[in-house]
Amino acid sequence: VNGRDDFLRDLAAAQDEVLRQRSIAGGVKARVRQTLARRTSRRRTWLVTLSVAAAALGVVAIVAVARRAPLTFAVGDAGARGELGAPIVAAEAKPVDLVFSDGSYLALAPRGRARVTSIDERGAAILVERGRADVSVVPRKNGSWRVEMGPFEIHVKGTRFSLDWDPEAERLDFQLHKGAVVITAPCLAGGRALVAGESLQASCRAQPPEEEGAPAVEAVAPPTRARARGAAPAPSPAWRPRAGAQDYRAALDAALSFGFERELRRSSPADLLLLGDVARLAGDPARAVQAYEAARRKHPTVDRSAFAIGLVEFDHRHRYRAAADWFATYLSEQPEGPLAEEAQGRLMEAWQRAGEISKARAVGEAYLSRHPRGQYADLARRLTR
Amino acid sequence: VSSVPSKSSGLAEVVPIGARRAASSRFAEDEALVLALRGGDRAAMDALVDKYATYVERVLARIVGYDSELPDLVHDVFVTALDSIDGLRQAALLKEWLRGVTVFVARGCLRRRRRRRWLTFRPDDELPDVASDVLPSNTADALARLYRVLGRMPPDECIVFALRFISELELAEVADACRVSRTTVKRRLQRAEKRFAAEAGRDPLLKEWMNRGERWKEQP
Repeated sequence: VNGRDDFLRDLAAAQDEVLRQRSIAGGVKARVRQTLARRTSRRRTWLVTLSVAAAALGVVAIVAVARRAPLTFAVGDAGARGELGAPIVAAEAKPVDLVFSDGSYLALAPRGRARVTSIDERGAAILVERGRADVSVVPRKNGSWRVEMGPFEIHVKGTRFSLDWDPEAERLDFQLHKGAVVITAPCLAGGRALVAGESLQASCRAQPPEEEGAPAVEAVAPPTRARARGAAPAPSPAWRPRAGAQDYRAALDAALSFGFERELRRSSPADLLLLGDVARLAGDPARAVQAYEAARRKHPTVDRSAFAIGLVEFDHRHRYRAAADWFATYLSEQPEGPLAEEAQGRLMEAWQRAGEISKARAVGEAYLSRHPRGQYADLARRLTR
Repeated sequence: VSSVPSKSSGLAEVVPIGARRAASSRFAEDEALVLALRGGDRAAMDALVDKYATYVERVLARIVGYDSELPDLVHDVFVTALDSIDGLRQAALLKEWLRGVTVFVARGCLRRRRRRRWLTFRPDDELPDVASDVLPSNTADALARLYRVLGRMPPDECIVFALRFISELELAEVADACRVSRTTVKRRLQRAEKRFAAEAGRDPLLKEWMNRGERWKEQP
């Protein structure tokens, strides 16, 4: 119960009418821009004034950076100061944490064994001799971390991953949760670049005579970890990590240079949705719809493809009837889907903008009955009032 | 190799759909907009104003009323927001965060007005012109009187009253916008409601309006 009363509601509606007719929102942009420009100019003046002092401070800063202390690390619950090269062994039933002074950590599972072999101000090298470990490295400029297991080396800047190293079988099971890494080993010619969600299962142990020389890399797999024994992993398209970094323009450019049509053919429905998002957010509605439609062709009711096409029609092409059709399609395909409320709200607004007020009103009534406090409730009330 | 970490909606990792339409298609989603704002992108600043100026204006008008100071306040909200965009923790909550900034600016305005009134001995019964050419005179008058009553209340009480009873926000949203606990909001609301009923009840025109509904109707 919100306690709102007719009296205040009427006056709020009157105020809305005033705002509609006298809105000053349009003139704000220029003023804000002016203010920011003035500040930049003032800042420039200050910069000139301070430059001499900055030069002097710079000398001090250079000395300070040169003397920057290397990282340190603590081991176990008690936070005992870790020693370089000393073995760290996790007991039968108790994991051990190595926590570094920059916030990075390695959690060594029971029966695991590791040691920190080198450490400096940019990062550390850790040797995992046995067992499973979860690793999180805080990203830093010029950060340099290395995790070694037998012949494998993982080169890290900032990321989170899990690994399991079996020294007897010389087998590595690696899963990357966040960021990107490169794994090198004599049997991984040129190394393997992995991005978030990928996993690698590999062993460099020598093969039977008939396969001598061939690496025993089993699979580089997506999160489902589907195995493809003996199959060479496909190269990872450069657009995906850029999409993960929210650099949509660069991601789309990368997809175009890689071959957009080719990507449409070879990608999974989930990848196609992501590619559609990349194109949409990079301001290329045509390619966005191409990708979403390709996703629908591969899997007709894939997740939110209908909703996404509706968004493009609504936000980019301003074709509200088409948008309404797509939002309605989404709702029929996924009536309880995670975007159902948004789709219903958008459907109502699309009909309103298309001038179909009776349809908009009907959707508004249905919306209010399901989402009386939803983000489109105000619009629904105005339409149904 | 196919690897896209995704949640059930598939959109969550890269493009959460919390944000509504935007003037600029490049920044249709709040996350992309915030990212660009943090990078100092001027086009993103324009897009932010395009997308939220009307909303900010309405929240301000609900709290301080519609008057000639409103454009300055909207301007102040965006300048404050752009200055502190790095403080926004979740880009998807841009709109809620902006509402908090708006409340902050509105509070400053209410406090300033109170000080000014006290220092200049301005007569308290002077009514601002609330668009009498847009509204029927009786409504325009009632609106002006409503904000005169609210203006006499302590700023923090005025804000919670306006957000809760005029903007129709939930308690949790009011608490979030005011950056205080729900308990504090409830306490302020109790005081504000009491004060408002007493003050507004003394105004013949507002009393007439109040008697149209049940909630504020004078008890026999």
